Amino acid sequence: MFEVGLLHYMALSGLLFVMGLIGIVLARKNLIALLMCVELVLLSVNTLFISIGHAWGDLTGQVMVLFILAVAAAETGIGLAIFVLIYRASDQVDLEKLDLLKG
Amino acid sequence: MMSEIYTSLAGLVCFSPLIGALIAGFFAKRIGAFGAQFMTILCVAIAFASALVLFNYMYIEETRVFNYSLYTWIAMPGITFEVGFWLDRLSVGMMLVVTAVSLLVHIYSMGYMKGDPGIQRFFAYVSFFTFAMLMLVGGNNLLQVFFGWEGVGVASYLLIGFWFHKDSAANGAFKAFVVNRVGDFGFLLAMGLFVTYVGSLNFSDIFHRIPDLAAVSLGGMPLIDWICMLLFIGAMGKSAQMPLHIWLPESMEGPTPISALIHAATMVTAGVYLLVRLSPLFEFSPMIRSWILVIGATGGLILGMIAIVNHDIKRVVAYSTLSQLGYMMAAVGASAYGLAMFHLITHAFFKALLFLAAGAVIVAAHHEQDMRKFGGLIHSIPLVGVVFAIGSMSLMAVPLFSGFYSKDAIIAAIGATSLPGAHYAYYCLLMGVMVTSIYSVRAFYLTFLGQPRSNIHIHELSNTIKWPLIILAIPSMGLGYVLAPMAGNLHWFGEAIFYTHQSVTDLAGINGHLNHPGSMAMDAINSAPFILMLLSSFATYWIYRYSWAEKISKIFAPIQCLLENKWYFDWLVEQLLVPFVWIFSRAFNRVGDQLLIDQLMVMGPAKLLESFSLRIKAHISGHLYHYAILMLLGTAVLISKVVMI
Repeated sequence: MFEVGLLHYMALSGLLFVMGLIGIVLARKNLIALLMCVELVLLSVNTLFISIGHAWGDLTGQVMVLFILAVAAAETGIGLAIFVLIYRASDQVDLEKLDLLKG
Repeated sequence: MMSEIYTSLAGLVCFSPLIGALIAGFFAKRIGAFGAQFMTILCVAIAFASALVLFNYMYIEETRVFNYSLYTWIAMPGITFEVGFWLDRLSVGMMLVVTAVSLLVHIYSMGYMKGDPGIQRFFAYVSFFTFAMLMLVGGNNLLQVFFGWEGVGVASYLLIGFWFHKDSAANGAFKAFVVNRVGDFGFLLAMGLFVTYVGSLNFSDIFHRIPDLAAVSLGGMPLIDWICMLLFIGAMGKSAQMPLHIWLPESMEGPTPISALIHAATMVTAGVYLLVRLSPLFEFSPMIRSWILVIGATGGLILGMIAIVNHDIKRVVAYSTLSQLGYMMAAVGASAYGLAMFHLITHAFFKALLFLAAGAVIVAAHHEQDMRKFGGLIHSIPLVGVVFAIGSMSLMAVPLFSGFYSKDAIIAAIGATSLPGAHYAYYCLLMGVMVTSIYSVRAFYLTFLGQPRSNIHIHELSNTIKWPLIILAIPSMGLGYVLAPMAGNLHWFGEAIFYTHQSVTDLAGINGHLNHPGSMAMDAINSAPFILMLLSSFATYWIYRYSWAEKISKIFAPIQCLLENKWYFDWLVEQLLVPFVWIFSRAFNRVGDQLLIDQLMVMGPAKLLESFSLRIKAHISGHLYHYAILMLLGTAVLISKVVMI
């Protein structure tokens, strides 16, 4: 029987983290996808917290996750609100075209 | 107990004009023209009353010197600068003169400045001037004197340029300011020497250390000579001695009450006052006193001569002020400090009277100042004619008038001193008496006698103009007679003035004379100054009576040309000094100001930042993912650093 251990969880978390980062860096079209990637990074950290907390028999990891989820929810809410405003102002959420800070 | 009374009185004298100035200046709109006049006059009246009380303490109750430091302004290791009062007979007497003339000028200005849009500003300036002058007079240290010195300079600048929309007024103010800086430079250097060698600017410290100062030599000349020379240069600027006198005639562009207060009665005598105040120093420097004597006497003669050919009624009086300042300076040079102050006081009243009378003529003639257009005004403004005559007679030293006592005593004192140059000075001043009579009679004749030379509709004079004239006419007649016995005492200023033994012996004879003013006037009838005065006034009268002036001016054409060009002093300055200064200041402006400060120090960092950010800017895309990459890379670098440690 294939035993799922801590290392597997850590690998999964690392995978999610890297996917999230790549998504952030490469997201060229859609703002929503960008936000999802940020969420992915946060979730990878959450996975890590839970797995390590479980392995060490410490509940602090899970408590931390709850905090992170709350923060992530707030962040997503603000992010979505910003996107709505951007959409209202410029009728699109295309990252390529959002370059007001261009020098 | 007494010291508190003195301090509060001195504070009232000095600071109430300041309060008046602040109220009139800052609440100008709220209190209106009348409010400003009322407040400033009230404050100056309070100052005058307090000065009277102080005068009573100092002269009648014979109080000694009172030296009080109000508060410490700057305390540094080795030296402290204080603000305080030095009250003795000299400063209190001067305070009384300043506040009295200032009060009358304030009242007179109500009539003179009527209808001027800047009337609150005018009264604020005049009150500020009074404050600064009183700080100068009452200061117990040189720094405070210098503060007042600069304060009166600023007030003078502002008031000469009061009608700044006139080019001539703005230029006159500028000239006065710049020429005064030359003198102030001397004053500053002298203060520097005091700080270096005495370590204090307080009068009490300076006077204690004079024996030490007399022993020091600096670059082959005794230190005390250097100090006195620099102080005299300072006094030359403020008191308009040759060759720094060129600003005073230009200052006549200001309103006439200002000319009376600042440029005749008080500010221009500040230099004389300073030298008298520091008499213990000057007594130890006979060489510089000799110079003072010569420069003062020369100015007393030749600057007065310019008045003979001038046609502007105010400028004639201004040149006579220059001449009288020369007399005062010469008296200081001859160690006759008491007589210099005596002449300063009598002059303050009769010259203020002359200026205010000239101002009344100007108002009556609708701001016409050219005497060639006057004539016969005695019939239309008899009061002004009478007071102008009184002022002129006092100025000409007609016996029994106040100017007679001070001026004759000065001439006699200079005749009696043994300093080098005293003979030259004596004859200069004797000739000066003649010159004074000529221009005084000429001005009076051209303005008030003869036939009207142009169509002048006389403007009605208000009471605020008339009353100060009447009040000033009284001291112009009688003050000399009253003060002469006091001035006859070498120590009428108590301990304020110091005389060496030599000076006391020189002056002994003159002072005995002054003790009997009545017989002095009788004796004057066969003295040289009186005879010269009488001859030249009658000669002038006949010349104008029979219109010989044209012919005579043709005979003396070269001299006339010289005088009309004011001895070419202004021309020399413009030809020799101005281009030089111009080149220098332009160089400083270009290199120091524009290049070093503006370009390098102010614009330099800004330009650097700008070019830096312009370069960076080219690489900023504005895309979110680029920021994200940079952010991640940055975080990675930071974390790797932390992990490495």
